[in-house]
Parts: sequence; C-alpha cells; structure tokens
Amino acid sequence: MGFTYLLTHIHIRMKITLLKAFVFLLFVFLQQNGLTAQNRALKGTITDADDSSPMIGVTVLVVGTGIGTVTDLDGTYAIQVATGQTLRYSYTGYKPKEIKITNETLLDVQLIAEATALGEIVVTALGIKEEKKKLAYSIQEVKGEALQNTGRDNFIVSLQGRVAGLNMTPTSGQAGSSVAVQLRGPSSIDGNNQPLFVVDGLPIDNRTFNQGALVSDQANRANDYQNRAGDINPADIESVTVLKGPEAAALYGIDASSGAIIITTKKGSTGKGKISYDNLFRNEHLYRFPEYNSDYARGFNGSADPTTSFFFGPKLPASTPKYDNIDAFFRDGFTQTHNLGFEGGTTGLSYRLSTAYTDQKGVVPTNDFNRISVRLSTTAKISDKLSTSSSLNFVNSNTTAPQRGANGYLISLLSWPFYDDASVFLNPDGTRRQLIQSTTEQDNPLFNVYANKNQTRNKRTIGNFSVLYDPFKWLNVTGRFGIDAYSTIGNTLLNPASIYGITGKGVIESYNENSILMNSNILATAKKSFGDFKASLTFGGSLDDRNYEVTSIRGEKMYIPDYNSINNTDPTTQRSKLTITRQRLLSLLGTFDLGYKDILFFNVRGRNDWSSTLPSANRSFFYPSTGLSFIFSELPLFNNSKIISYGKLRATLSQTGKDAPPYKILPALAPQTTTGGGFAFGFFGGNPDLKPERTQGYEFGTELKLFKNKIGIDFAYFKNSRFDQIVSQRLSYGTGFIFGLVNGGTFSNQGFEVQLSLSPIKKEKVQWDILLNFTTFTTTVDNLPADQAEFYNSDTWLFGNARASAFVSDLARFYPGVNLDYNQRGLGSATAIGGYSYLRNTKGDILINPSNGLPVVNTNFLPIGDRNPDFTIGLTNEFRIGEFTLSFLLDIRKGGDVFNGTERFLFQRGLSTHLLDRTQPYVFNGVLRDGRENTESPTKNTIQVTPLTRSDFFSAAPESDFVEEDINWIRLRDVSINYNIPSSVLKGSKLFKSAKVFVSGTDLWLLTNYSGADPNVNGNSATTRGVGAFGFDFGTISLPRTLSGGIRITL
Amino acid sequence: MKRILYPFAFLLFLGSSCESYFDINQDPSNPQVAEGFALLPPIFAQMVRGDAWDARYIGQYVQYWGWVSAGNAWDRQGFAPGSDACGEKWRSHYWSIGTNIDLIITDGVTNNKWDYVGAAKAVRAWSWQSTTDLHGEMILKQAWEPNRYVFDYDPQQDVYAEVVRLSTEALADLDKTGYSASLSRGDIVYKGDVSKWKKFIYANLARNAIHLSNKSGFSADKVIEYVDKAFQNNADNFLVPHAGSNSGDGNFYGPLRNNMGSFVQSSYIISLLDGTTFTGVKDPRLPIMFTASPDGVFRGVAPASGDPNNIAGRTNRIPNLWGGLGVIPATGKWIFNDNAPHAILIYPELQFIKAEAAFKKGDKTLAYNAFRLGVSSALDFVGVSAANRDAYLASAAIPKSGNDLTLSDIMLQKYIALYGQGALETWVDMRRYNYSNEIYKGISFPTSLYPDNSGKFVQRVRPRFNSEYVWNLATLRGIGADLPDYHTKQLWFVQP
Repeated sequence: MGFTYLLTHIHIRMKITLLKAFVFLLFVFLQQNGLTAQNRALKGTITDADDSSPMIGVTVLVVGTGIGTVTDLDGTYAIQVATGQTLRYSYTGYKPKEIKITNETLLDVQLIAEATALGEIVVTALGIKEEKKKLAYSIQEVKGEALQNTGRDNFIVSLQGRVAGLNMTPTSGQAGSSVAVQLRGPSSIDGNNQPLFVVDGLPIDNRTFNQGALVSDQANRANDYQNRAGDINPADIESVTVLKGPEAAALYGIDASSGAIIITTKKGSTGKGKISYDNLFRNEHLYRFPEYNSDYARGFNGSADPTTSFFFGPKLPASTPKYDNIDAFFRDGFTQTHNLGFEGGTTGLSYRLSTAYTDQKGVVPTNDFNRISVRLSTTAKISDKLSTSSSLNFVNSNTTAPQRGANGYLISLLSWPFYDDASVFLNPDGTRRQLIQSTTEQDNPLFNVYANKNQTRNKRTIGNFSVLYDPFKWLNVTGRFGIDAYSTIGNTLLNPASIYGITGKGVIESYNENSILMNSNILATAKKSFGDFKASLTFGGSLDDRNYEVTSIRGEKMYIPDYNSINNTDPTTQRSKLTITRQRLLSLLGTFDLGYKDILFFNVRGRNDWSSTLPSANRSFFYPSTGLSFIFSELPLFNNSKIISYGKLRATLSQTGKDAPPYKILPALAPQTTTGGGFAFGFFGGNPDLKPERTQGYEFGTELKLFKNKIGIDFAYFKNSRFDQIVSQRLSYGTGFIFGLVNGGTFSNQGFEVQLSLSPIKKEKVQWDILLNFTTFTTTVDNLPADQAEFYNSDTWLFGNARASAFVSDLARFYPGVNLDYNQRGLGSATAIGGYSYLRNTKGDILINPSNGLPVVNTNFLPIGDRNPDFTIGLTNEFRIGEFTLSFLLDIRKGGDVFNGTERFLFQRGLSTHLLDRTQPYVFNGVLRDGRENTESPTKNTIQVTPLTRSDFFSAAPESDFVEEDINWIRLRDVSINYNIPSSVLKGSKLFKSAKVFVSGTDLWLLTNYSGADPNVNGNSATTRGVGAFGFDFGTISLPRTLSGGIRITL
Repeated sequence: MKRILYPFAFLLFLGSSCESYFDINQDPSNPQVAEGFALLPPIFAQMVRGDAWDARYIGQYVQYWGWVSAGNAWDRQGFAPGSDACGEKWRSHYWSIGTNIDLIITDGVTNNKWDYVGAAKAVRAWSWQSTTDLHGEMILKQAWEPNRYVFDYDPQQDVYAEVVRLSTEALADLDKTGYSASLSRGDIVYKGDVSKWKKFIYANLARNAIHLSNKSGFSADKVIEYVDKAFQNNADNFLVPHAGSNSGDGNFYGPLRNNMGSFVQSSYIISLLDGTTFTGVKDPRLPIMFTASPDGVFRGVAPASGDPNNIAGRTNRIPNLWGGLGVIPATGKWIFNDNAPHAILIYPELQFIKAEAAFKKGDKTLAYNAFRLGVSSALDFVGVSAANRDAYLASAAIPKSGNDLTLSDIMLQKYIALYGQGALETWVDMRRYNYSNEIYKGISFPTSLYPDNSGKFVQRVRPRFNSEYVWNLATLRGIGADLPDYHTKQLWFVQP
C-alpha cells in the first residue's frame, strides 16, 4: 500500500466527514431557535463563598448539551434550561459545582476557592493545556488583558518585568522599531538567540529584516525594521505563556532552544452575540536626551574655523544667541488605535472576528507606523469525537523610519551648531542649506528626515487549522496545519542633495521580501489509570518548511531629484541581488508521563529532529529530557497546614540542539563584477563536518502557596551548558576564507529566578495584588571556537573601537607580558564589551607618549566592560477599589555596563559636557613610554596639555573611558487605570453589556545613573546575531513618555 | 483539500523519501560549485588586485613613486602597524584566488579538462612565488586544511620548492592530449592557447631560479634554459585586460578606481629617463610614461620628501600619475588608465633575467644580446615608435658591446622596464643587490628611515594584520614576526 493510496483514502474519508459536518452545522444553525424555545429561563448570581464578591466569567454549562454561558460583570447569568437537567458551574481555581434543576427560575450559587493551586491549567506544548502541577519546570503566564492595558503597539515590549528571566531590548524609541528578546541569557554565541513565537500551537515567523540582503550589504545599524512578531494585535491575545529553557525545545524542537513565547488567542464564546469596541488615543513625548555643551565655537586648537564640524574653537561670548534645536526638531507623537470585534456562536460553533487599526506618528518628524489587522477564528464541534478550530489573520503594516546611527538625525542634531537655527534647512530657492562645504559635513537633521526616505510595507496572512479527534475516551489526537506568509516591499532613498546621496548623485535601493512558513504537527495522547497511578503516552511529529526570498535592487544617479522610483536611476548603475533560503525541519517526539495520586509526577521525553541545514551524516539528532514534580503539600503531614496551602518541588534535566543557518556546508560563491564576470568564493567558509550546537542543562525549583494563596513563591535555579557552537569566526586566511565556520566553543549560563506574588488585601471592594519577578544570571565562557581569545559581532561595531565580544577567562595566555589588571570586566563573559583601553606598564601605570603628553592606547581588543546586569526586577502592583483598577509596573535593573558611543562622539567633537574649562592645563597621570617604563624607576609624566589649544587631547581617550559601569535603573514602565462603569448605570441604556474607560502611561519616569539618554536601547536592529547589541548606545533616541486614554465597550 | 491533508499524512512516508526531502541545502541564489570558465576571470582580476594593491607600497620602497606629502612611513621604508596595508597579496593568495583554484582542479581532473587544471596550477605557482617574495615564510603545508585554525609557517625554501613542483605538474597537465580543449572559454588572457600558458610557467620558473643568484647552488644555465622556453616576444606577455566601464571592472591604477591620487612620480625614475643618469640621453619613454609640471620640466619627489610645491597655481607642481594636478582627470595615462591591461609578467623582464644570468656566467655576448632584446622590447611595450626606439638603442645610454656591459646597465634597464606593474619584482632585485648604489646608480635613500627600522633597510612585508596578527598570533611569535624590526629581517632567497 503506497502513500498515494493512503492519501487518496484519507482524502475521501475526510471529504465525507467534512460534508457531514457541514450539513450538521447547517441543521444546528437552522434549529437554534426551535430548540431553545422548549426551555425556560433561569437566572442567578454567582459569588465567592469566601467574601461573597460577584464572580465574573464563571462558566455555566447544561451538562450533556454543550449549551452554556458565562457570568457577566455583576456575576449574573441567564440560561435556558429544562427541568431535570444539570447545570455545571466552573471557574479556574475554584471547585466546580453541579446542581440538578427542579423548577427554580432563580438560582444563586457560591463557589469555593480550591485551597491549592492544583487545578491551575497552562498552555504548553503544541497548544495542549496541561495541569501546572505536573510541570517539572518553571513556566509563567501573562494575561492578554495586562498586555493590552499598557497600550503598547508591540506586545513584546510589555512583557518586560512581567516574566522572570525575560530580557527585552527595544532598539529605539522610534515608531515601528524592532525588539530583541532573550530568555535566560544567550543560548548561542553567533546564532539566533530569539525565542520561538508560537500562536495557537504553531510557530510563526519573528524575523527582523537583515540588511545583509540588500545590494549595499549593510550591517544592521543604519535602519531599523519591525520584528514580525510585532504584527500580532495585542487585543487578540488571550494569554502568553513563556517557556524559558531547553525544555521548550523538548516540546517544540530546536527552533525553541532559546525558549518559546506561546500565544493563545481569544476565541469566540457561545451564547448571545457580542460586539466589542475599544479605542486608544495616545500622546508621545520625548524627554530624555544626551547632554551636550554649548560653550565653544567650531574650530581647532582654540582658533575658530567655520569650515569644520569640530567644536574646538574659542569660547563663545555669553551673548551668543542659542537655539533650542532639539526642541525644534522633535514633535509630540500621536497614536490612535481602534479595535472592533464581534463574537458569538451556537452549540458547537463559535466565532470571533476582530479588526484593529493603529496609526502612530512618532516623535521624530516623518516617522510613522500604521497597522490594520483582521482576524477571524472559529471553533466547531462536529461530533462528540471531532472538533476543529481555525483562524485566519491578515495584517497590513506600513512604517516610515528615518535613518539612525552614524548617518542619523540624532548625531547630526547634536553636532549641529547651537548658535545656528537648525530648523532653517533649505535655502530660499529650495535647495539644501549647506553649513560647511565639506564631505565631512552631516546632513541637517530635518533635511535628513524629510529628503531621505526609508519605508517598508508589509502584508501578512497567517492561517491556522486544527482538528481534535477523540476516537476513544483514552485517546486524543490533535493535528494542526498553518501557513504564515508575508511579503514586504522596502524602499530607501538617499536624496542627491543629501551628503549621504551626493557621491551616488541620489541613491534608491528597494527590496522585495517574501516569506512562507508552513508547519504542521500531529500528536496522539493515550491515557490510562492503574489504581493510584495515571499514565499517559504521547507520540507525535512536526514539520516545518521555511521559504524566504529577497530580491533587492539598487540604482544611482537619479534623473529627477526626488522621484522615488528605481526607474528614475541610471540603468548602468543598477545592481540587483537575490537571496533565497530554504529550510526544512522534521521532528518526532515521544513523551511518557506517570503520576502517582496528586503527589508525584514523572516524565521522560525524547525528541529527534532532522534538519535540512546539516550534512546528511549529522542531520538527525536526538535529545532527551526528564523531569520530576513532587507536590509535597498533598502529603498527609500538610493536610491541615495553616501555612502551606500548596507546595511543590521540581527538577528537570534536558538536552537540546540547534541547527546551522542554511547553505553552510559548502562555502558560497559570490558573483563578481570584475572584468569578465564570473564567480569566486565569498568571505564565509563552509564546514562539511558541521554538527548541531548542543545544550545540556538542568533546572530545579519550588512553588509554594502560603496562607490560603495569599503569598505565592516560585523559585527556579538553572544552569545550561552550551557546546559545539556554530560560529562564523574570523580566522587566519590560511583557512581559505575570511571567516571560518567553526563548530566549537563552550559557555554556560547559570542563574536563578524568583516570582513572588502577594495579595495583602483581598476584600470584596478592595484588592491589592503584588507580583515581583527577580532574575539574575551570569555567562561563563570556557573556551571559544578555534581556540581564539575573542569572538565579536561586527554589526555592533557602531562607533569607535568597541564591540560586542565574548572573551575566554584565561586571556593572559594570549597576551603574555600585557598587563590585564584593568581589563577584568567582561573577562570570561559572553556579554562583554571588547575595545581599546590604555596601554600600561607591568605595574599598571598608564603609558604616556613623551612627544605629546597624551596617553598611549592599547589597540588590542580587550575586555573593557560586561553588559550583563547583576539582577533585574519587575514589580507589578495592582489595586482594585470598587470599579477602579490601578496597575503599575516598575522595571528595576542593577548593574551592567553600557558603552556610551554618543558621548564618545560628542567628546571627540568638542561637544561633551565634560572638561568645560579648557584653559586649565592637564597632566595625564602616568609614566612616560621612554624605555624606562618597565624599570624600577619609570619617568613620571609631567607634560602639561591645555585642552583649549590641543584638539588632539580630545581624541586621546580610548573607548574604555566611555564604558559606563554598573548602570542601574528604576523605570516606571506601565501604569494603567481602569474604571468599569457600573452595570447599574449601563442598565438604563439597554445598549451596553459592559463599558470601561481607561488611562494608561508608559515609560513615564526613569531614574538611572546612566549619563546618556536611555540605557535600554541600542544601535542595531533585532536581527543582529549572537548575544545582540544591548548595552551599545549610539545615535539612538530614548523611549518616549506616553500617555493614553480610551474606552472599551461591549454591546 | 489535498493541501490540508498533505501535512497530516507526512509522517506516513517518512522512511522512504526522507533524504530527498531534506536535500534542499544548496543555495539557489549563489552557486556553491562552478566550472573553470566561470572561475578564471575573477582569478585574473584578483592576481591584479593583489599585485597592484601591494605595488602601491612597494613602489615607495623601490622609489617608483612617492607620497605627495612628506614623511610617509612607506617612503621611509616603514609600514603601518595594526593595518592591512600591503597585505593584499596575502589575501588574494589564500582567499580570493585561494581555493577557487582547487574548484577548477577538481572539476578539471574529474571531467578531463586538463587545460584548466594546468592553467589553475600555473596561477597558483605564480602566486606562491610572488607572495613569498613579499612576505618570506608562509603557511604552506597546512594551508587550506579543513578544520584547522592555527597555522604553522614553513620556510621560504619550501615555498620555492613548491613552485617548481607545481610548475612541473602544470606542464605535465598541459601536455596531456586526447581530450577536447575548452580553455578558450573564460581564459581572457591567453584565449585558451596552451602553449602560451606553458611559456608563462617557464617565465615564472625563470624568476624562481634567478632569485637564487646569491646562493651557492645558483645555476645560470637553468635560468637561461627557462627563459628560452618562456615568452618569445611581447605577444606572449601575461596581460590581464580591463573593461574599464565602471569601478568594478576598471584598472586598479585607473582614475575610476581612484587608488593613486596621492602618489606622484619619483625623482629617481625621472633621473633615469631625463638624461641625468645616462649622460644626457633623453629616453623616448619619458613623455609617454610621465607628465611634466606646468612649466614643462619633468620632476619627481625625492624619497619621503613629498612635493613641497603641491599648491594650486604653482608651475613647478608635480602632476599625479594620471597627469592631473591635484585632481582626478576623466582619463588617465599609459598603464594608469581605466581600460589599460595590467602586466603580470612580460617578455622584456625575461630578457633582462637572461642577461643577468649570462653575465654572471661570464658569457658576455649572450648577456649583451639578451640585454639589447630586453631594452628594445621594453621600448616597444611602452609604445615608443620604431624610429625613436632605434635611436635610443644607438645612443650613449646603451653599451656598444658585451665588453662594455655592466650589471648596473642590465638592472637599471630592467628597473625602467618594470616600472609600476613590476614593482614587486624590482624589489626582489634591489634586495638581491642589497640596495647597492653601485647597481642602482644615482639612487639616494631617505635620510630618516622609519623609527622601528633601527637604521636598516626594509627586507620584507609583514603577513596581513587581520589575518595573522589577530588570529594566528601565537605562531607568528614563533618566527619573530611580533618584533618591531621584523620587516628588516632578510629573506632566505637574499641570503648566500
């Protein structure tokens, strides 16, 4: 029996089944009114037995019919029943109740909270809901409402502080910027460290466009592009579950080896149809800027020179007019968001349609972002044994983002002479007003954002279809299939008059990006009980097929200065580039779970992945995991404990792997533009013996609920060792390449997380809940691939000689005779800053050049900082007083270094606020490099340097001077105040089911010892490889302060 | 419907079609394997790029040209620490020519394309030769070894032996018959003429042999034998053509690529052509190769002195090599033009090699005849008219017989003949003769050498910084390459 036969067979069977289903649905739909007419109405209110407060959202079901409803804001419900039927009332965390109906028309019910958290359900693998008690690892859930309440467009930003172990870095405060996320630190030294994003059981693409695919082949720093997970409309999210460690890979395969962020979307509920509408109006205001000085004129060595953009001229007279160019440049941003949805359903069929529109104008002129999202999800119960759910989501988003970084508006704004009005950027005849006639000139910031363009238009469709089939009571089969397809049109224009477009006489670069991700999985679970033992066995597999294609074209010499079309460029200058990647991944997994009563749960999992990106010999790799969960509070000893309501100990041991980027087995040939054309090998070497990266880790922890759930503690300690890293490492050209592809290097992450939840007040009208997430971890680099001392990410080489590096701890072995006492920060760390520092003698004195009195720079890239914080805390407080709810989130960080590239730029330009008195002669503390520096009596430096007359003074300081150490912050991330309009008010209108008004603010307040604008942004985009660029600040604006308000109503 | 079912059914057919299902790991946008005809043109381009790039610096060592402003480190026989300057041949030898050669050889051996195999080996032999003459010790035995990240250096002697070994193999490959030759496709230098490739191999061998002139085992006969099997006239020259339509396919020395804007002709080369050295004989090559100052006088920069008159409006300002005064003209001049071919090896050089070998052997007649052929073909190569050529050959600049011929005559004419594109080979000669001003008459060296030289003349160029000094430093220390005066350490071929 061949495959074709099977396929055809299944095909026919499915066709019949679906046809039947359709007829059935039609029948149900038509009969709906008739069916209900025979019953009578029953009403009632459900309250908490503990404090008699009304309970919202309690499910009320007529047992055996599928008819049901939920309680409204007042805890009331209404349902059609017939005498003799049984009603089932259920609510998570409460003991369910069943009541047989006699002839009541009013039935009030009290539900009793379960003393334990035993019934808690979370969504883990492949959309499967699992009882949390069984889990042997830490998992954290965030309600969609909390994310939506922040009013942020990209829900990932709202996750910061709400999940222990999650570290998020937005790349800037611009609209439509990307966000990088890491769970429990880096998992790969050169690979992708972003977690897998999963929507309703199937992975979606979270790519951020890589500028390497452009003809101009840029490092990911001049422009920013939205990360695609940001397409998800926050209002569609029911909940987000975060799996932090390698155990995520045991469930989702190697793509989740950096963790997984699992999104469950809202589904329609049965019952009367509901229309909901909400809106948000938001103001954005930028209020934090780098400080810069405005005392000196342009020039060198104390003499004025208006042809330079360096500010080393004479001190300006106090009467010099000063312009507030920063104020003139930035604007207040404005955003409006509208969500309109309706949902409804009958027995066995429910749907939810949501539409969303967001229009954001950023704080930078011309920067805007808009998104339209339409999402339809349906669930259908076809028979007792078969049900389906499906969703279709279409998103259209457009971003206009100005250039940033070295050629961006911020750098040119800061270096624009403060005694010149930057807002006058055009001459009366409409041409660009030039400040200096030089190629070192920067564009006027306003001219830059108005004349140069960087736009992307993305259209995306995500479709999801799943079938749940329960052929027997003990067997459950789930199959899912999804397509995530998007295309982006990107366009960058450098105006011929712009300094960046002048040499090309106007440059247009466009690209077309197409991505299709198809994935599917199938999972069968069998359950069986043997006395006190419950066993379940799961088998399944998943398939992941990615096709990604970028065609980019670039042309120069624009005929018409501002006509933005590639056709408007000289054909002989046009170049194009094609980038295609295809990847396939297949997984098979098996899980065996065994539970003893409600006390002990044991599981063992095995997974085998086959990746197309590895050589066939190493393509298949197996990784197991095992875990144990022990609910010690179930022991008789704790039965009547007043203190411990719930207690669990857990431990997990797991392995995982990671495949390579595609096409790395053989090196790629690159097309050549030299005479005769042809091909030659590119920079990157291949590796025919490529093996997958591996991780081996463990996690143990505990969950405690104390004093009737008033206090909850979740503690997790983890250690993950990463080895056989796949790294494009710069090596000797003896390899035949500039970068060798090396499989090697070992590093580890270890740390712990604490989640602490408190409910100090829990009264009917007043409630106060606190959630604290504490995270700390360190990375330790044991060795680097090819036994090198340093690995670095060239994208992060933003300004000066400082870059994101990893260093081995035995660095002295590589630098015999070099004093490394002052290069200990970042030693042995994967999150180090590598850069230039002072050259010192063996005693540690700074060496001074005897000819000019300036310090000598050590041009070896050595560790000069470590970006990893000591710890981070997210503290959420939620107060409910009557119909008011106030919630705020504090984001706290202690330690971690930041390279302030903007300050280094300002210092080198003579614009720093440091050393404002330049007339004071300065003697560098050190010894002369005169041959005696390493003797017993080195010559002490006494050479005086007067900064005013010595511009070279300002370029002498190495990058290590601009690493700001131990940067702390307390940031008021999110505040939201909600007011539920009481139902007594609404009842009069008869129109509203519920109504709510809210006010929220983000990034309202920041307290930090960082001297720059914002230590939590960086100059790259989220696509940069490896550990990422957090802690590298250059030419990037801070997160604006926003204030928003709106209403949410249900009809 | 089928589309929906397909993924659910995939597990059922896993066993049978798994391998082909995953067999998608070949890059559809860029090939990962190619044939010789697609690989050869970029290899030629990289031969030029490596040679020309480094010749800019070596041209300062040998005083072909100088930096327009005074005190330049290279003019002072120094180097640029922490930079890749003058590391381009290193890059092309190991990477941009590098294993592209192996792709051609593998394809050629498998598919009977012996003309490509021979040509590829010939290029690699040339690359070993010219790169070791620059850097000395090289990574030889461990080069291109998979999964190796630390590379040992091999003595120059071994590299010289490798050139001979590879050349012998290449000659044998080119002698193979019984297959259908296709080298004309992609061979933009010799158009598939296997006999010319063989001559090129012998030409490179002649270099290999003459470089050992200071050694006791030096064989002049071997040199003469190689020269006689090599190029027969200028038509056999190894010239890499340039389309010159844009910066991608333009000549490295041309104005489009703007690589020579700060270099100006040296006073020494002018002194060899304007009659200063050769007793008043004006060389007909002078106006073709160089440009006079606005006042009509040909001038050049003295070593490390720059042009003190490099100021707009001065009539004694020295033009750049394109003939412009401080600007980039639309078209260049002679070999400094966008579409000018770049000479890798030429017939006149071989005749001077033969002359030198015969001179050392004591065969004055043989030496004299080769010398005259060298001068005559060198004038032809520059584009001097037949009449001017013959006049120059008859002038006082040229000795009248073998008995008048001196080593200096041979080496000076070779110096002129190799101007610009042959800077690397000229540097070999200068080092062989220890920068002798007996040989290089009238030359003067910078009064203040680069500080790290400690008064010694430059002998070698350091291996490429970002290849070796950053990623292979431990091995470099082993050969003393971390010492500040490493560049003044004599190479093996120079030593007796």
